Amino acid sequence: MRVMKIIIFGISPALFLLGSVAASQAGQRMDWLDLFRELASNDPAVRDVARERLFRLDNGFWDVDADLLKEDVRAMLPAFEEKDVQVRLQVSAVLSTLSLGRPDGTTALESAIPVLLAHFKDAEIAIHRNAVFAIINLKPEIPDDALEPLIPMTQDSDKETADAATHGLTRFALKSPVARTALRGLMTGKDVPLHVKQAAVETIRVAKSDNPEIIGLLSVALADENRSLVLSGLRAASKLGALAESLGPQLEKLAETHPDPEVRANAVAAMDSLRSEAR
Amino acid sequence: MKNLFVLVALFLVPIAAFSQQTSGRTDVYYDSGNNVVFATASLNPDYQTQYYYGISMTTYLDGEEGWVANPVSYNGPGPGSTYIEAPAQAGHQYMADTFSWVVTSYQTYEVVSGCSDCYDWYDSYGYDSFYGRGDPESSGISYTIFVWAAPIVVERLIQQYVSLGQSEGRQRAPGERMDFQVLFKAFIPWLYVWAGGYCSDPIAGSSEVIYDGNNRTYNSMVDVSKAKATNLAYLLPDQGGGNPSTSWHQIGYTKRYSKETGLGAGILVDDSVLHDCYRLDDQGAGGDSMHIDFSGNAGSRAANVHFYGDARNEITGLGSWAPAISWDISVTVSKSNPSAPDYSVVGWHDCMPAFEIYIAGQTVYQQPPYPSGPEAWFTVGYCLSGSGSTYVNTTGTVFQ
Repeated sequence: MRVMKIIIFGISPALFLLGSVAASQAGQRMDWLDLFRELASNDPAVRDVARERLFRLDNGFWDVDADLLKEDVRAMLPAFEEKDVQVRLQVSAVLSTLSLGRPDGTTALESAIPVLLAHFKDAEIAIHRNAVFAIINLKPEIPDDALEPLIPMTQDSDKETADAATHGLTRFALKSPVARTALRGLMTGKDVPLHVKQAAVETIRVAKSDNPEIIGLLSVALADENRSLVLSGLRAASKLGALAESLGPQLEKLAETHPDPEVRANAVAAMDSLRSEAR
Repeated sequence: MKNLFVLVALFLVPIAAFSQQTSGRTDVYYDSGNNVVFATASLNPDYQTQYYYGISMTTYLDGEEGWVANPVSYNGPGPGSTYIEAPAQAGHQYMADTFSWVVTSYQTYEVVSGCSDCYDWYDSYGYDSFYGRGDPESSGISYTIFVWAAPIVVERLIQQYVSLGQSEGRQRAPGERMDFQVLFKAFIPWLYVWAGGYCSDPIAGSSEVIYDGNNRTYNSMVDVSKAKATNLAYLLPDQGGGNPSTSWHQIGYTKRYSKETGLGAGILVDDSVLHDCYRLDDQGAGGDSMHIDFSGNAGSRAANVHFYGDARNEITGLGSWAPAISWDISVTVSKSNPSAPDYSVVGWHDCMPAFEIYIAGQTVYQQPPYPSGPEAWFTVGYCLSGSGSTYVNTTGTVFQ
């Protein structure tokens, strides 16, 4: 069940002004726990002022140096210990967003990583979902110790969480044999939901890896009975071009014998892409 | 003399084509003398270019039960028009949609006969300038070539259909309203929105990436190309439910651009080569996890539709897996007072993007995104992560 969300009401001009004056720049310490509690308040006036303070930090989160942001991140973490689901939701959302946007998230969010991993098991779906998002979007690399807790999240009952975890696992698979084995298990598993397999194929598509094992996973998608997974695999092969050379015979067979014209057309396009780059 | 009482139709949608100007419209009328509804649609390429370009248009006329007449098409030189009619049922709303294309004809000169892997040259009269292989079975253009000097082996004509979009009209036959169309859409009002990621390419370099928005204000039309998520349902309060066979949902299309080279002055710049971090970098439909459920009570003449689900962007980059747009909204229409049906809208949605709900074309809910603009990268991510959602609780009367 999704966590109850916050109602937005109009902002009182006076409170808005107060909030503006009180707003800090990111990178400077502020009382994040208080802010998260205010964001989770049942009082709409308190909540709206807090939200305005948070949102005014927008560029500050972007421009600030990682070392300064680390201070903020450390100050946010106590909010994860709050019993109030809404408070935990706020901190998880902020960290998830920082991970998505910061190119140096692995460094800036370093202190939060163990806490986020621990909250993979948070009973509230929205919180463990945000925790997974925060980990799998870390750039430039996801820390190695996130792999083990991430693998079971690919089987999460929440589709969003499972798909995001699969994206993270596929990122790991680019460098980790353990992750590649786990990923192959997902791709070949009969009980694994289709959306998980598609998330893996989508990530392979954008990763443009030349790892033969990774490319070989597309072969599993191409051989699947599900039409949409086959099409996803073909689109991925098209993007990979010459990197997908090993898929050539399979593409050729699909192009010639598959009963679905869209599959055949996409197989032809993938073969064209493969040949053009090989030239 | 025939007693023809005409109610003039409602909507005009201008259609813009690329280098030429094409306009089209669809109107729906009610003829009380014959008790029929009929629709007319027209499509007009501009005079200067109509010699080169044909047009194609197909008009559909829908009632609450789906098609009420077979679609009618026109293919040929412009301008063109279509006419379609069907018997009218009292109180029912009828909607006509016309999908339009401009048809360009190309001479292709094949270098090696039957060779689908060889280069041909398309002469597109400068309309939609690209070059590619002359394989008419090909689903897309894969190559760019600017020099060709081989002898011609085969010459042939290929036609390409360039979609222009759709125009739409609606009309209701007189009588007590029986069906209530509920349209629920999520859209990005800006030209583009922050994507939270980067692209890189050995030639183009690296850039922030952005996603296309729908670049519009509120609009009650059914136009899936102008929304990131569209849900349409028909409520039938007299029957205590809805009509699943005519209700549908569709995920929107998303394009990803290099911010450096794809964002022009008020426009997003496309190109035909994807995944190169130059202008248009990727595109595709989103992930549809949208649901429409009906309930209600015929005795109290009330019907409810429950819209819930997620619309996910599926062209995110590595390490930029974005949260989905989420919502959970219930719309109820009650005819306890048949002359003044009332509605209620209850639920929540993410505070990004914009949302709009219409009942029988009447605005019942419009909510802008909370972030102040497309560059509010933190707030975009925060809203989609499920925090600070917007709650809806509104009631009113459906105008007759």
